[in-house]
Amino acid sequence: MRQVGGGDYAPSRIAYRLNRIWLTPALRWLVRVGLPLALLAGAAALWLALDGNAARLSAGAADLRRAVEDRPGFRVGALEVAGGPADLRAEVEGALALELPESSLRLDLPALRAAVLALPRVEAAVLRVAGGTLRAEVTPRAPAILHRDADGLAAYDAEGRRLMTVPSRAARPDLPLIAGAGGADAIPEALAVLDAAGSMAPRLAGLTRIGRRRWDAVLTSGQRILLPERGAPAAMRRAAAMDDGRRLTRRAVTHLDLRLPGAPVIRMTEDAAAALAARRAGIDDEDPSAL
Amino acid sequence: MTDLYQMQRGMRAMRRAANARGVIAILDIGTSKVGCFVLRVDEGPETVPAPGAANDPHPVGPMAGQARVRVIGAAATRSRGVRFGEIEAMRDTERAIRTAVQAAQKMAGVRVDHAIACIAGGAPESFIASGEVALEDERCTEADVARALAACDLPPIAEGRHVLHAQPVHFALDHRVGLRDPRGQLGARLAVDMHLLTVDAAAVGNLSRALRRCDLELAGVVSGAYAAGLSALVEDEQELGAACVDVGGGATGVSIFVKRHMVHAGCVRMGGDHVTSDISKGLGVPLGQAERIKNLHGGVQATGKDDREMIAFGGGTGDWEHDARTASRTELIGIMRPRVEEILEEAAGVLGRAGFDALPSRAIVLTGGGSLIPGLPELAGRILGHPVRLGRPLRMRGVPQAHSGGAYAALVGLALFAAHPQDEWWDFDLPADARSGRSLRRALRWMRDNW
Repeated sequence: MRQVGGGDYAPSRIAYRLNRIWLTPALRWLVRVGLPLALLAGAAALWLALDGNAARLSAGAADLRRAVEDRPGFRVGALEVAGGPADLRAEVEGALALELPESSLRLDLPALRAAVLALPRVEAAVLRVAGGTLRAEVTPRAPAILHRDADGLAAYDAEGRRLMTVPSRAARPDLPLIAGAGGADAIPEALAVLDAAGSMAPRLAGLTRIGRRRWDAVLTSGQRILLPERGAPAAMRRAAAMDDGRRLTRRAVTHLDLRLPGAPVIRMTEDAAAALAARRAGIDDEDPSAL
Repeated sequence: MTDLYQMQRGMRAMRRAANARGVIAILDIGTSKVGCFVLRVDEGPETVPAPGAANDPHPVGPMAGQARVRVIGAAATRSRGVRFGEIEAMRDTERAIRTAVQAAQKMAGVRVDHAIACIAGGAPESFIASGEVALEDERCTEADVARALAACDLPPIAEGRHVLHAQPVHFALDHRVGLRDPRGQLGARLAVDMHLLTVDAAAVGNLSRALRRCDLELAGVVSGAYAAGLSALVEDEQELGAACVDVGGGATGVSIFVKRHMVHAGCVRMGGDHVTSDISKGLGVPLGQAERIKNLHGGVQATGKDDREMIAFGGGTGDWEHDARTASRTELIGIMRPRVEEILEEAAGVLGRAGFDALPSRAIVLTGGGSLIPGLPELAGRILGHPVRLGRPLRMRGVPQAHSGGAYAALVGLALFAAHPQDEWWDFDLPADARSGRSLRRALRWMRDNW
């Protein structure tokens, strides 16, 4: 029962307990990782909270960024637009609205490309920066049809997108013409009808939208073919076939009405109608088979 | 008996908790040293894939469950306050435990809260109890085993004794004897032999108290002799019958194994410390110096050369004549040999009382720190009357070289036990009828109390 003084080599109860607490994994992690992290974060927050430090830091960062951006290696000095007619290229340059020279790091190529694609006449665009030049390769949309309404004459593509205004019909004699309010909304149908015209196509002056719901085909001779609301291309094909067989439009007919399926109706010129009536009156007495 | 059952079950539950946490401490509180291992129990499937399989993480196979256990911290320190393997001065022992545990924890880098300890002293006493029951079904079930264990006629266990182990060591179904595991087999009557090991309850209580004062929960108490046998005996020795004599500092444990079960354990309340104290008295030197002389020059077989080998020693008193003495090694051997012979004769007495001569194979394995005395195996063979070999503990993953000598047999055995504990009585559920009767009584009492 000798009382041992302070010289004992065994850890005291307190030291032993503290050692065990220190060996607890969670506490160890907290002290060795959590606490330093918290201290660092706290010090950083404190430093930023002192007046001017945050602003100075962000200004310094911005300066650094600008210094890097302004290096000559990132300089874009020229814009080159390829593809399409000259007026389209000028339009694309206007849409890009660049102030050159500019650092390529400050060019937002996706946004620029979106701006180019927003032009109605551009089908696709590829933008790339190479050798100090921003090169925009543009694929123009092909106009497929002309449409005339109260606002004037405009070209549309096959999907019905308005591309540009056209000063006169003579500027684009190669494109078919349609007219009438609401005609621009049904351009794919109009193209289908025109496609179905077949042998009548050379004599077709254009299509007219009637009441925003159906088409009239107008021939160069002024004759009209009234197409139904539904199945207009098929009706047009039928009209072409009738014309091929009976040469219908070469006769004194002003309107061919195909609106009722199975019951085509024709309207004749007044002279022809009178002549027919006169002939009918005579024939009633004579020979019906002579008609 | 039910108290014991509860306490052992509590410790088993603690062991499960420690296994779930993955870290458990192993403490050997001996008379001369306190050793501590920190074990990392890998969470993994109990069933290891077949050896040689492509996905086998342990190509050598399960290795008796060792593959899941690794030693991550090891430390040993001089023991204080322990005599004859029993705690004598609680505060000194606590200090020694704290020193060892702290060093092992430092090496492991993690704290441990559960400890399995072994007790070398406490005057262990072995009993064999037998029981027999008729099987309820024609097929033997775990409940039948539990009933058979409950039917064992308990030997007279004196007041103040504590049952440390109660292991079923032998089963018989009808006329078939020597079964290792009867579960699932056909039969009509099941007989079981159980080995009970009792120790002084005060010794276990003191051990438990000392550990609790070091903030450790006791997750099991194992007999030191059993632990030493587990690690020092090889497989065929455990199977065919062998005795392990663990010559420790203050107590010498004797355990007899046959059919892979411990069937007897005993203790001689003498060990290496007594040899040291004899040297101290005989040569008139301090105990520390006597221990040094024993370790460096000790022996039990004198030869002619030993007459000329002079050992210098002194006393540290300041008296030149006293401090500059010499003795021949023959003199030293003359001091040591009678005590070693006495220890071995006592051990031979334990073996004889246990009927060791009736075993099929009678190998004796000497282990423990005291077994390192040069010439001991020859002397032991002459006194014990059987072939004797020196035993070193089984190799385990992570055990440092410094802790793989014979002195650490009990510690390594404890680690093996922690990795792969044997089924004991309290691992089988209580028979159902006893439990239902008790719960009925409890229900009746509750009704009386509340209405």
